[in-house]
Amino acid sequence: MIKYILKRLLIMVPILISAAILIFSLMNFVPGDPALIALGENASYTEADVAAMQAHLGLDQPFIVRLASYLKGVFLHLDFGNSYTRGTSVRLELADRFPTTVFLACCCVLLILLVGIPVGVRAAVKANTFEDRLSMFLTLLGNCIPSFWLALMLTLLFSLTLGWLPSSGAKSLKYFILPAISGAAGGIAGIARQTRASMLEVIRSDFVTAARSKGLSERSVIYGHALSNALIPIITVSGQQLGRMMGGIAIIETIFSIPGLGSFLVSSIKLRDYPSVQGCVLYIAFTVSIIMLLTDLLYAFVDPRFKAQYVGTKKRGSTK
Amino acid sequence: MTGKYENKNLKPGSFPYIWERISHNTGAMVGIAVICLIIVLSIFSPYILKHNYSTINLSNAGALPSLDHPFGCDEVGRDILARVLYGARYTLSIGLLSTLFASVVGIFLGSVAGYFGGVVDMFLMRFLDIFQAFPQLLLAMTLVAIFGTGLDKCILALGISNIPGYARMTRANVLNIRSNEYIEAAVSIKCSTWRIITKHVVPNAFSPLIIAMAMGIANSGLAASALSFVGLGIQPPKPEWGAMLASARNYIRAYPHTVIFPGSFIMLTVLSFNLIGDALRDAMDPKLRD
Repeated sequence: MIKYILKRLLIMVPILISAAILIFSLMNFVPGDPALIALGENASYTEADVAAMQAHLGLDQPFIVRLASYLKGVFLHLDFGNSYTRGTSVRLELADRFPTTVFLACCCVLLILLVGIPVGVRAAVKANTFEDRLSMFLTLLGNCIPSFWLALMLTLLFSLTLGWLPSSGAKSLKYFILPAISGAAGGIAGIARQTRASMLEVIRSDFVTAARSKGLSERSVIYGHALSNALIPIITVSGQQLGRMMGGIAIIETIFSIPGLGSFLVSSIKLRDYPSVQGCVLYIAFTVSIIMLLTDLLYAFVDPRFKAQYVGTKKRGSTK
Repeated sequence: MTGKYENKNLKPGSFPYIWERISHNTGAMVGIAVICLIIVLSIFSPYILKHNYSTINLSNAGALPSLDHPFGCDEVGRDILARVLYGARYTLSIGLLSTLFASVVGIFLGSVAGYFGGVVDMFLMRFLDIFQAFPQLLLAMTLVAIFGTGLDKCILALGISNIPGYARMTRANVLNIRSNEYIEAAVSIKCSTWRIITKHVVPNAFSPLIIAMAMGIANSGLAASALSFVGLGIQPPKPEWGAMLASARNYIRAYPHTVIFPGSFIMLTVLSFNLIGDALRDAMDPKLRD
């Protein structure tokens, strides 16, 4: 097991470093002088001001030197440089916003799992009945509805017409209800469909019949025996949904004016504040990679066949 | 199920067989009809509608749906029906072109990596891993930050962010096919590598890719309107659906109907492409069925 974790970590590190190099290099080729952006577009400045700003930002040094110092900052000190327009440290800005985004993402994941899996299980158990058809139709719609439009529609209904929930800000739990629902809708639909599909495969297996004939309650047959065997493809899809969701959350945050990483990214792109864009994208990429690593590790706990691959034949031989 | 299709003596996997199965799938036929209708209406909308999509008429600002304006008017009195139909051009062309771009490049990279294996494969796949470290929509946003906003740049950004998916999929299929005997046979008669890849490997690896492309058009169109919605794609006053929603959003309290129609068209389009994709999957690859 440890061998597997180490192997995954060893693959992850060079990918993250290359990702940082990629983003830094791409940002370097953006047309326009960053010094002018830092000075502000409407401000009046002389040649000397521009040169001074270039020196201040380190732009007078060659590309390789800047890349090396950027990588050193990012990987040794988690330092993403300073924002052009705000003048503050990008790292502090990100650390400030990170918990909000994580909280929103956790709300979405909880909703996806707590709603998506039971809906899928129920649809599989009642396969080809009206209930199944209805829930599959709803999940098809959920898959297609743009999350930002759902957000607008929910705001229209619950904030503007009924006045039950706030439409922007992040002051208490109440403020996260609408963003979480709109961020999770697509994921719920995806998970429900995947759960139904893999449950249908498992539900007719012999071991499920055996569990039933043993006299177990229907509940423990379905949730205890069938679902735990259907779980592996569900985990795979959850991992994919999570990656997709991180992009969607950026948009949701912008709509509901939630001060998280996503809204920071969107506003930084508009301000052409490249160090912030760079830092924010890398920060999110790091987080997503770590989450992906955790989902992969989850396989190992859920699927004994997978564990056996890495435990090796030696141990198995010794227990005999 | 199978009996219905066997009596026509169609070869599974052949085009007539696939068409036969799709034409019996209600969802797919509805999807195809809706897409065709949207395309036709979008092309001819300037000639068949009374109102132009860009004519501002402040006396009609926020007008509710009526016979004259079936979908009502937006905050500066432009006819929403005309704008929505014209806007289909943006969403559909971004969806189609970015998917085309991504799949051509992705299939090329994937088949090269899969067929040659070894160092080429490793280099290409590790390079794509770097791109896949970023969530897709975030990668597209970053590329927009680099390229700037606009139709062509939006297509490019979404296209690039979709390449790794197609490449990976092609590679997996090619690896499967390469071990088949007919490839060995082709090599043994001194068929050129280029010919083997283009005539023998890629066509056989194609069916999952077609399905992915149908879904890809939907997802790219959705992503394009999401980008436009936050101001990183097509810019208002162009009637792209996401951009329309972005400007309507500021008046959501006063004119709620302006928010409803562009969004429902996004959903309708995405739904149609998904239905077509589902039917293609059922027809082409029975193993992949839900």
